[in-house]
Amino acid sequence: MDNQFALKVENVSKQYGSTTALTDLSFEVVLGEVHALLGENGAGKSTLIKILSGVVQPDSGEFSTAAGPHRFRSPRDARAVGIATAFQELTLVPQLTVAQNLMLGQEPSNGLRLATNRALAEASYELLAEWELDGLDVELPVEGLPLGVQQQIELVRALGQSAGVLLLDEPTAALGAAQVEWLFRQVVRVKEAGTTVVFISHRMQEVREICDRVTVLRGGTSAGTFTAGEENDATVLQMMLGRDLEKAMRRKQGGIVGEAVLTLDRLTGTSGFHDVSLSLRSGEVVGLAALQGHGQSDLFMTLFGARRAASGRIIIAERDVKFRSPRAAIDSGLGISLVPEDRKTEGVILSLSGARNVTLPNIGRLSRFGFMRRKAERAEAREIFESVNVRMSAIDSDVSLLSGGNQQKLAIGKWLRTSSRCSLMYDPNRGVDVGTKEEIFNLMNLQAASGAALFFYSTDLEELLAVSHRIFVMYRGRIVAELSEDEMTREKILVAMLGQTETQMEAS
Amino acid sequence: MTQIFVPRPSVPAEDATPKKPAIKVFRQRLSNTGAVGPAVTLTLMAVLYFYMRPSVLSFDGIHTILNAGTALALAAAGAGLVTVVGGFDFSVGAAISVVNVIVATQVGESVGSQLVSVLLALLVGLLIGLVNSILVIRFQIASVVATLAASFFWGGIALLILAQPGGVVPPSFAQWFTGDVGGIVPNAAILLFVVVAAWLVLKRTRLGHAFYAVGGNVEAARLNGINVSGTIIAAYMIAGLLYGLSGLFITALTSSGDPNIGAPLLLPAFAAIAIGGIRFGGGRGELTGAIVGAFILYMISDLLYAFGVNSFYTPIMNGIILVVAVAITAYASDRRWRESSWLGRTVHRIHPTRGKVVQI
Repeated sequence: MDNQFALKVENVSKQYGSTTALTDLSFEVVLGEVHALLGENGAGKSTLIKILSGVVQPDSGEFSTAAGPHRFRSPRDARAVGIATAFQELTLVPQLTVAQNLMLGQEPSNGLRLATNRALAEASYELLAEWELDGLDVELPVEGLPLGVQQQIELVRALGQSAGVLLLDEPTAALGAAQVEWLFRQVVRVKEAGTTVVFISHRMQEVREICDRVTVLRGGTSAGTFTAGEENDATVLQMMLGRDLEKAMRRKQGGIVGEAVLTLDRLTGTSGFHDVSLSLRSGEVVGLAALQGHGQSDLFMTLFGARRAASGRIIIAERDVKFRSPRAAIDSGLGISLVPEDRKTEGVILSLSGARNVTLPNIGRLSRFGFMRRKAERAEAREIFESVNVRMSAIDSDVSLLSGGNQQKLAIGKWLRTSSRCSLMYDPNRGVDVGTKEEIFNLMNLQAASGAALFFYSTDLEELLAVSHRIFVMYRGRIVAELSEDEMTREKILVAMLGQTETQMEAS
Repeated sequence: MTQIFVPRPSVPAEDATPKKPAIKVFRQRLSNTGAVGPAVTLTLMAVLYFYMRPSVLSFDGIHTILNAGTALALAAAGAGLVTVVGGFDFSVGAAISVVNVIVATQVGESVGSQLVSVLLALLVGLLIGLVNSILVIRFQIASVVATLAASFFWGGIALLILAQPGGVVPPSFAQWFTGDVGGIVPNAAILLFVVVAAWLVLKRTRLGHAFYAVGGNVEAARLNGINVSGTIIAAYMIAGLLYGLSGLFITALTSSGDPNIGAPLLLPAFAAIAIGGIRFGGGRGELTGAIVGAFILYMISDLLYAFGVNSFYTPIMNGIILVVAVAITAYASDRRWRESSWLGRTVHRIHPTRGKVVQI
């Protein structure tokens, strides 16, 4: 190849204990290109990024940039040779403000080496403006911001280093549609300025849109590199999975749509959403579309009893209910379950084993006089592992050792034995690979087919259109549209998500 | 000819669940039990000690060691439980002092009054734990602050009850704890009971599962339907109960009351927790580890004494052992420790958690 490379990886291998993350991986990133890394969860993408950014060290193999071979001992070393990284698992400090996070380690200082808040804020506004992120209050602590915005801040931090190589680890997973567009504009900008970008994503469409070349990882090694657009989606999928994927794009099966099991009447939360009226019917998948931070998170948490409602009614079987805790929602006659937004801090408990995690909602049923019935506990854990297709060998190890997709499958699987007839799923496919996504859809269908009501929020419109029988759209905490199966189109949803009516759109 | 080698359908190795050799299962069980490392260490130390001083290897000798270590062991077990659920309990020293002065001023010669004293001691322990947990849950005060305040408060109460060291504890009372009741050593029996009960509760009960879940991640535990408040209250109250028991032991051992007797136990208790492999921050570790850790601390000074080392060196040795023990535990409990220490840990700690989180 006569093109000069920006990054070259040769025969890199990496093991975590008994788990092999990368075996003999080789590939090249050409100077100035946007190079996509595709692959299932556990294919080794994150490990590769961690090696390239100096977070972990490879067991064997070579890795060089244009400047020569490197052996990083810390992320500092990677930065020193001009590699900037935006991690999927954000590295922001939640208690610090936006400004403090942006300027962390590079605080503008006066003569006394004190970083005044004012100077911090000014420098941050400048930085944000440079990357087209105006209108963000930099004095706010990061932890209160929607995940998408946090991701943007993480991205700006990486963009701002004006590095030679920019590593983006699944940056779009947490971003809404508008934010993705923003990111793509910035990627194009840095590319024009000569930066090489490595871009990890699960969304084929995005890869087609901005990447020059694509490398597919499978089982810790490269399954091939090709020029974007050269291979069709089916071939790429096959490369990723190593098998043919019989894909039924229209996945809507569900059961016979029955009666309303859960009805909301002008439900208003203590924050986030107002006057939400809707009903969920058994056997039906109800989709919810909204841009980031329009009250959907509060709505889900309130339905699950994790937040209090301010006013309005939740009606189950013609009776008003008030959930004082998630336990109450789980134990209500309906049996509500929640797959929360953030699997690592809400969905699973990283320090517990897989078996402990999946039996946790059921420890009441699985114990007698306070003592665990160990055989039943064991059997149930195995059953759940089997039904969500996670390898049995992981049953006793900490879930922190599992890939994100497998963690998510456990976060869903733990509800399978709770006699739940109403599932709240908050973006369950965020950051999971195509194969896992299929499995999750299958699980959802199975639940609906058995008569459960599903309430499904997703940041991915294609996904919503594919599985929902009805779609509600939220804007600024209110339901602004309800679309039946015949009415739902991408355009209609988008228009409603942006808070506009179609007539407005036509007028403008 | 019969076909011997039938080609098998290829099954991915990880999907099959191969029968592991017994020794492997045993080793895995060992490594899953956090208290094993400390227990082995303690055994080695004991063997060395008895080798140096064979005379100690007798009923009385072991009895003395147990008597010396039990109060700290129980205190460490209590504070260790609070640590497992993700909190800190600095009230341990003051709680022991209060129990000590109450018993020392109340207890009489009759069995009845002694029984009342025991009950009173345990109730006071429970009460202190309850107040701690209410401060932490209801008022959302960080456990470090809440229990520090409690420590001052109860330390003051102890002084109000008994301003100066004094009070007389009848030998008949001490006998119940540190003596020799019909050939059975009561402290050994009580200690054994606590060890077994702690293990059972943490490993085999619903409450134990909840302790680890809450210690691992409060918000996730709540979203799993765990009664987080109830779990935290239970942890603090059981801890208080153990402080009460610890206070009884120390009272029996010293046969008098001293409003400041508990304070010196605070730091060693936390050292024992760390040596015993309980993770600060919660979610991992076992109370048996803390109990073993307490005896390791005692054994260090005994060993140094046996070697004829000046006792001034004991604190230095304690410091070294503490660091070494914690480093070993951290290394053994997390295989990825080396690789991920820079980012992996940081990420988990600072990953954004939304919603109202009970501060513990």
